[in-house]
Parts: sequence; structure tokens; C-alpha cells
Amino acid sequence: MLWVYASDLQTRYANGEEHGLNLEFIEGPELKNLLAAGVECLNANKEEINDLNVFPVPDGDTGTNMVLTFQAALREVQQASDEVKDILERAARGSLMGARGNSGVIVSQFFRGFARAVGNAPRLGTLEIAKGIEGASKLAYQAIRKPVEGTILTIVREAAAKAQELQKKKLPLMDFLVQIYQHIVEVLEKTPEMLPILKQAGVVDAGGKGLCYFCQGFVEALKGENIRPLPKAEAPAPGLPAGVQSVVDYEIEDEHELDPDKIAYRYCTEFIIKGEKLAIEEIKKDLAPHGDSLIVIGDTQVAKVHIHTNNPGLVLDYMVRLGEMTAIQIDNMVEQSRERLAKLGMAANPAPAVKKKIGITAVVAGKGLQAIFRDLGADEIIEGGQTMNPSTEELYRAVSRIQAEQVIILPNNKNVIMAAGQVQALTETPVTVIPSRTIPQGISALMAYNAEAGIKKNREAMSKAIKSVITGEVTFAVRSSSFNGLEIREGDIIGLKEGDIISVGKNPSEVLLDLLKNFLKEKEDALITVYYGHDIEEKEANELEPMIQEAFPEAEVEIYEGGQPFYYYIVSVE
Amino acid sequence: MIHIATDSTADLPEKWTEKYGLKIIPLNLFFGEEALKEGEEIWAEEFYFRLPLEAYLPATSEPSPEEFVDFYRGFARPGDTVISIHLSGKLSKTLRSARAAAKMLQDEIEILVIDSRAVSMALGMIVIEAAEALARGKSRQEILDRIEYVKTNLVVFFTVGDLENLSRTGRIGELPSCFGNLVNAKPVLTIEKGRIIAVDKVRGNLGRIHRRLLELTKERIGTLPAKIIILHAGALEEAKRMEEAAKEFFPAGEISIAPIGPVVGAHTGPGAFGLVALADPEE
Repeated sequence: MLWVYASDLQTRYANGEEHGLNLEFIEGPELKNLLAAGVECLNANKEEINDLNVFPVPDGDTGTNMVLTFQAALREVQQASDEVKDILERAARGSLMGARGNSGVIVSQFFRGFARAVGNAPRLGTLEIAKGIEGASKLAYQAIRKPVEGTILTIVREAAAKAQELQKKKLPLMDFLVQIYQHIVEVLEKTPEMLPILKQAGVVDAGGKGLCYFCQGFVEALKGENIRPLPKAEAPAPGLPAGVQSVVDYEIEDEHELDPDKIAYRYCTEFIIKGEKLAIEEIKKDLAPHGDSLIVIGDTQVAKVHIHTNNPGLVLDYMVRLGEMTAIQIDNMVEQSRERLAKLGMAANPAPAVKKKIGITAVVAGKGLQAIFRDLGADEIIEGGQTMNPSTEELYRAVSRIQAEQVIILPNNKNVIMAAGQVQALTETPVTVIPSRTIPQGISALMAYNAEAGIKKNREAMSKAIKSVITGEVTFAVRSSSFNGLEIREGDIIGLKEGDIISVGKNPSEVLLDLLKNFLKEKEDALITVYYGHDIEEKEANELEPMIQEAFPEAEVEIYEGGQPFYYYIVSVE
Repeated sequence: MIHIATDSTADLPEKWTEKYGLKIIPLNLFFGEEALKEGEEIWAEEFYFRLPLEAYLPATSEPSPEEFVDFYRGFARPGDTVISIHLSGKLSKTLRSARAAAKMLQDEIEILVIDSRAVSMALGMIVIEAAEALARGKSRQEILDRIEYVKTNLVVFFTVGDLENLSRTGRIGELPSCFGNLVNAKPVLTIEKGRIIAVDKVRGNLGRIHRRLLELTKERIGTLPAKIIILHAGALEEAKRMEEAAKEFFPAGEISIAPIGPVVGAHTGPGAFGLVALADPEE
């Protein structure tokens, strides 16, 4: 697949068919297209990358996380001028905000490292690209405390080394990029040799492959073979015009100025326009003088426009000539903010709210578990975890909402820890990440939290507490695989101890009991807490207690409704 | 002559007040309009019996400065010294009334008003140690030094059945009253600088809480011989079980059980229990 493609690419290139042959530099406008093409190629192969996940458990998938992160970068790029510097910086910022999962965080480091290394270069030639990849590699390695070889990190490091080597040969740009690409595909094939876990599962590294797909799309587009218009890079949600989904995100992000006196443009104006040949860039240029916070996203058929202006009439008058408008919404922000301030009781004299000393936010899925986290003192809950890894931006927003002098984040998932670590880059509020990898670890950390103590003591106590509990999970296998000598079929019920699959069966309750037998001696005086998931009936859950109690007569058993998706049971033993 | 005085929230059993001739001023407990003097008109056992039957939540109030004046004049003669030790000024206005009275009487009686920064048997233990020093013929300054020593070395850990009571009456800091109810978590509380604060939480049955309270105590006093008093708010059975556990933790300890009186119990709610410990290398 990738292999064939790479050699195919080179053969055709060698025949001198492509327009990219004599290219020496990539300019800003083309860079936007190339990035979009890279993301599209990645997106098209997302499922394949998801299937490379080593553990067959329903979790945030690498392919999905990478695509969402790249798309966040692209959304920012679409707002960029045609300057290379602006494009790269926006890609860096967009991917930082949108980083989901560990692979997403690493991608955001690439963009940041690349942008920093390229600096003010007006266009990208082999020298700039070699520097950029070197910067990307360096920053990503710096960002990770324990870099593991055989992953996406190895791929970027190898790309950097190859780029340095080729750059000295003064190759043409096209040749240069194709050879780098070819090299990383070779390295990718070797990742199972570097990382035993990959070999055991019989796969190459998912993140690395995702990066290769991105590069493939990028190089392919440079050859002029498959250039697609920028806006289409993002898969439109069903029923919505391209890009509208992302605008919805922007609306949430668009925190309108609270102080009525400081609002320069009064009317928040928004609509969707359908036309024949909409020119997004032109619309942007024409609307820009009329206000600020301008967003125009879409393609030639349909676009969504958002602008703050003092004269919505002029804007609509201009747009009506381009096509048919729907979903027109005009809000007076001055009025709104007065109302909002009045509601907050701060209209006359906006006194700053008293800030909590320490606020806590936690990533939790399931109504029952969310209630438990709130009850234990979490100020903000971020929906997600096992189902969907929240982005750095979502974590950042939760941190901002808390209004505390310091904020503690409980990621409660190993694939969210890194994104949580990125939040500090976005806020001045000191952020402490307690690296909780499971829900029970998060609960133990909260139990150890002491509102009277300072951040340092709490960090120590909470970090210690997450080690005091053993976590078990019962879920289903999302695909067939073999692991730890266990043959697992898709749909089998699997039991995990601290993330390792150790039990396979057909019935969740039986697997739970089997799992517990692995944790506990029969006569142990332990506290067993079971949080049952969304798919378990209360009746079934009620039958658990006597069953567990019988197996472990000395233990204390507590059963709570967790309501979490996908995971039948989450159990803690302490 | 030196007198040792305190208030009814020291929860001192009669045998000790009599033994040392301690002077006790009562705080007031209210069930609606019904006002009762603690230790004179209402006692622990009766209070916890009545509590679930009452239409009103109990309320409390401190003695007035005038009551303090009458109290001091009741036993001290001109020229005497009264060492008057009271519950934490952060928890009650009793201390304020005592100081006001001391000022009114300053030309008659020397009254040294001391903030114990404690309450219940923690206060009680400070008072007994002071009385013991007095009984041994120690000087005024030696008694004050002894009080200071006990104040700084006393270890107090306790839990409550429900934080709502402390929260309702404003006796606890930042902790919300709902804390950890959903997962059956109990707070471990202590008194620090006169305020009640939470230091830990424990999930699971009461046995786990006993153990945690004892562990925390052991971290503080080690294996020194210690006086340990187990306190309970209408939870004698629980206190007895904890006493058994305490014997294992502190084989050399001098362990006893005492009830939490009505006024303190009105704030902690029934089911509170804990311990007060004093390690005393001097003895």
C-alpha cells in the first residue's frame, strides 16, 4: 500500500511527468493546500490507523485523535494570511488547542517545533524544511519525559536525519520530499522490531503510520496529482455544509466581551449563504473592513459567515448579491452583555468574584461517576475519557471556567495525560496534572485532596493516593486479537487489570469475578468498589454484591451506578 | 489562692471536677424556646436520647459577661487568681464574655483567660493537666507553662456522622457539607489553630475509620506512653470498638472513654467520634 505508492510516485517522478519537477520553493497559498491534502489523506485512512491500536479495547483511537488534531490545525490555517510564518504559527496554535490523545499532543509539538525552526522564512525550500523537521523532532523529544522508540517519535527523528542528509546534496525539492517520505515508510515497517508490544500484536505503530499518511497526501498534492480545494479537507458532518461543524466550535470559543463599554462592534451577525461560485477569500477581504471576529468558512457552494459589526445591514446587503441566505441571526451584544452582567449582579460595580484557592477539573464519562466526582469536590467535569479523548482546548476551557488561583486536572485516562500537560501553555493559571490513568485512581486522588492544604502538599498526597488503588475494568473486545496468550474474539468480554488484559469470557459479571480473583486472596480484608456501566441493569448490579461477598467473605463490597459507556464494570480494590 | 475554671464544653466527668475542685460555667442549649444549662439541666445521655425526637434542631449560646461575673464571684475572693480556660475563640463567643468579665473584675480578682484552641475532652485534658499541676503545688507560672505544653502537644482526630451539622452552624472551613456522601466517605477532622479542618477522608466501614484515626495519631506521637481519651457523640458501642483497636495500637497507652456533651454534640451531630491523645515524656 504505502510502499507501492511510494515507489509508484518515484517512478512517475523519474519519468518527469509532474509539474512539481522544477519546484524550488513552497509558497504560502500552496502550503495551505498541501497541508489540507495531507490531512485529507490521513482522514481517508483513519479507520485503518484506528485498527492498529494494540489493545482491542474501546478507547480514544489514534487515527481519530490525529485527524481531529490535524483538522484543528487546518481550521486555524484557513484563517491565516498567505504568509508562511502566519500559516505555520496558526497550525501550531490550532493543533495545540485541538490536541487529542497522546498522538495529537505529539503532532502539535511537531507543528510548534517546525514553525519555530523555520522562523521568518518567506517560503519553504529544502533548507527550511530540513530545519523545520529537525525543530519538530527536537521539540517532540523534549516534550516527552520517556521517549519510546518504535513510535511516531522515531519516524520524525528519522525524517529529520534524512532531511539533513539530503539537504546537503542540493536535490530538487520534489526529489527531496519524496525521498524523505520513502525513508519514513521504510522506518515505519521496522517499528515492530523496535517495540515488542507492536510485534506481539503484529502491527506497525499507529501514530507513525498516521504521520506517513499525512506526508503521503502532502507529497502527492505537491506533485499536482490530486490537489483538492482547501475547504473540502474537512469531512462535513451529515446535513451540515462543510465547515459549519467547526464554526459551532468557534461560537463556543467566541467569548464575547463582557463589559458593554468595551464592545467596539455591537451586532454579532451570523448566517449561512448558499451560492454558485462563492469565493471565500474574497468574501473575507470584502467583509473585513466592516467589523471584527470575522469567520468565513465553507466552499464554493455554501459558507458560514460570522462577524461582529455596527452595521449588519451593509453586510447582508453585500451578501445577498452572492446567493441565498439562511439561518440569519443578529444579536445586540451590548444589550446581551448588560443583561448578563445584571444577571450576575455586577452591572453597577463589577467586583471580581472571590477566587477559590485550588480548583479541580476531571475527565469523566457516565452520569453516576460524574456525580461522584462532583460530590468529592471536582469543580468542572469534562465529558469523555474512554469514549472520546478531550482536546487540550476543552481541558483549557474547563480550567478557565473554574476561576481558581490554581487548578488541578485529573485526566483519569492514560491517553489524556499528555493533552492535560499541554494546558499550561495556554493559561497563566498554574495547572497541576495528577497523572491518574483510571477512574478509581481519580477517585482516590480526590479522596486525598485537602481543601485546607496548599498545592504542593495536595500534589504529593494525590500522587501517592493514585498508587494505593488497583483498577479493574470489564469491557468488550472491539476486534479479534491475541494477547498475553489469550485468544480474543471481537465482542468477547475482556477483563483488564491496570490496563492489561488478563481475563476473557462471555458474561460481564463472570469476567468481573474472575478478574477479582486475580487481584485478591480469598480472605483479604479489602474494600472492593464496583461502578457499573450504562449497559448493566440495576437488577444485575444488585446481584453482584452477594456474589462477590461469597467469593471474598472478608472483603467489604460497595456497588455504585457509574453509568459509563462501553465499560460494563470499573472496579477498584484498596 | 489559685482556682482553675473552665466551661461545660470541656465535657469533664463529675469524678474529675470533684477530685480537682474545678469550677465550671455552663453554656446554654436550646430546643426551640426551651433553654437548658449544660451539665446542670441537660447531660449527654439525655441529649442524644431526645435529639431524634425533637421538632427543633438544637442551638447553643455562650454565657453572658454578667453570668461570668457572677460565676467568678461565686468562688473567688478578692486577691485570688483564676486561671480560666475555655473552648476555642474560633468556635464560640464564650472567650469574649470571659474576657469582658475579667476586665470588669480586674480590681478585685486576677483572672487569666486562656484560649485553649480546643474543645470537648481536648479542652478537658488541658484543664485536668493544669489542675494536676496546681494540686502538686506548682507555681502560677509553672501551671501556665504546663497549659502551653499540653496545648501544643495534644493530638485530636475525629469524624462526624454527617458534615451537615458542622456546616449548618458554620463551624467548619472550606469543606462543603455534601463531601463524599455518594461514595460513603467520612471526613477525618482535627482542630488546628482553634478551627475545625479536614485532614483526610476514608471510605468503607467504621473499622477503617478507627484505624485511620489511630494511624494518624501514631504518626504524631509514636510509641511514647500516652493518655488517650476516646470521645463519642451518643455512639458508645463504636467508642468501645475503637478502644479495642486503640489498645492494639498503643499497648502502653492509658485509654478511657468519654461522651461528647450536648453543646458540642449539637454541632458535631450524633455519631461523631474520635480521640484525644497526649504523649507525655515528662511524666
